[in-house]
Amino acid sequence: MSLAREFTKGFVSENPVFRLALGLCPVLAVTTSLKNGVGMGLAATFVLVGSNVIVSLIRKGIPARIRIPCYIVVIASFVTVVDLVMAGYTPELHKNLGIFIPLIVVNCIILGRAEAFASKNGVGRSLIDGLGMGLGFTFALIVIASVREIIGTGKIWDLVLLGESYNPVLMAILSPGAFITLGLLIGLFNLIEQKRS
Amino acid sequence: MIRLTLVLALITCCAAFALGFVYQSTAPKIEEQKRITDELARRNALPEAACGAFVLIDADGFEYHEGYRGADTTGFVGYVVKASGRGYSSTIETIVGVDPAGRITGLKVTNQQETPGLGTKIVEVKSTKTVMDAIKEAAGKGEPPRVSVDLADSEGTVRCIEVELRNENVCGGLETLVASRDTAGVLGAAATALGMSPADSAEVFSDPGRVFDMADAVLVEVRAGATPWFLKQFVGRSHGSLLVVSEKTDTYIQAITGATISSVAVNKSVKEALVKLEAAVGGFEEE
Repeated sequence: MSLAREFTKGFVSENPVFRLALGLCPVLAVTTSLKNGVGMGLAATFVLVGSNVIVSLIRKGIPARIRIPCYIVVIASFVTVVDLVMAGYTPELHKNLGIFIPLIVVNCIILGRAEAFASKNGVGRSLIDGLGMGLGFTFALIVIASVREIIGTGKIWDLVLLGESYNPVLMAILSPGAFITLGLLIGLFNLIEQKRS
Repeated sequence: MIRLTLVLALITCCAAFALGFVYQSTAPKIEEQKRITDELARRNALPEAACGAFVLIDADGFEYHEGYRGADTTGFVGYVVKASGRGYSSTIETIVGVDPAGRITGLKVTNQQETPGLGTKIVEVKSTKTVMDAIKEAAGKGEPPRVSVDLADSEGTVRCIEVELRNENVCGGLETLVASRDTAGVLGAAATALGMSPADSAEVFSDPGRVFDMADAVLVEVRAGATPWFLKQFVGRSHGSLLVVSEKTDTYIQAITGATISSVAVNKSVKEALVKLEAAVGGFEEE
């Protein structure tokens, strides 16, 4: 597979949220606003890229029996870095994302890519894979958060989009809105993929 | 087996070294954020001193603040003390405001990592809005209030900002600006609320101090309205009447369903802190 294909697969054909249905817990929980979605997406991308690169670098020196604990140590370290940096420099975002930042450690996408890809490929390809998958995850969060924020508040990133006459549908930013939006978007992406193939 | 142990030990040592470096780099910033959070929590917990001064007192290792109505430490209105207790999955840290008679004036949880949906309800504001209400609102019934901006009317302008600040829920950001006494920042928030450029707002608000006072007043009001229902139960009580029960009650403090450990932890830590405070100040005033 070419490097370009490796990078772009995470956006549509192997999108972790819309196609593989991975990491749905933070997707449902933090997409109440675009800011939260972007913050969570970038945090997960940083962890994905970092852990993929390190796992790929050390893959030949790790005995198979302890590979999972080693991957978890690597992933947890990157998550702790994100947690500390966010707490210091973006306290509002850190407060909004709350427990979902430490929970990146158990995000299926991160461990899944480390086990399925980075442990079997070189550093370059693992980096591209992590970046593509991370940005694909971020893209999914942006799409879901945008839909929910626009419908639920009439705004996007503090900008009034639908004008004074719009009555916000609060349900969109509550739990039912998360499930309904995600379900509809998964259906849409399946339809796009069917058309493409 | 030895090789497995050595490999794992090596990886964890490298991780520990890297994390130590990141911790050292971010610690000053995190400390500064914590200072601002505590400052805001003190003003929240003791609303009468929201625009006043706090003086740190160290009574043989037990620290608390005395709160004053005036910025020049005039008009003593009460104490603020830190409480912390072990909850279900984290240490819950709380800042408690107490009037001179020992009655709680307010609480603010400054740190917790409890279970989402259960223990986190200690900081959640209870919503009285049902899904049906949301659907009705979407259908056009129960239209939310709209703001009409009349820049020629200064009182109207101030009122608009108040409404906008509440609707926009920018209180968090505004709190930070007020705590850091950032007049330009508060003016900027007012400008955003009115959809103006900061330059235009500087002309409209020829007296930035007034906007600042207004922002303080709005914060006090918004904080009072946005107090989580669980914490609201503590307000007005002295440490002698702090008891958590699982039933619905007006006499005691009702525990959060499914989060009894978190509820009891907050109650116990607050009670202990108040007992220590009473000893440190030599007893509360008689009512």
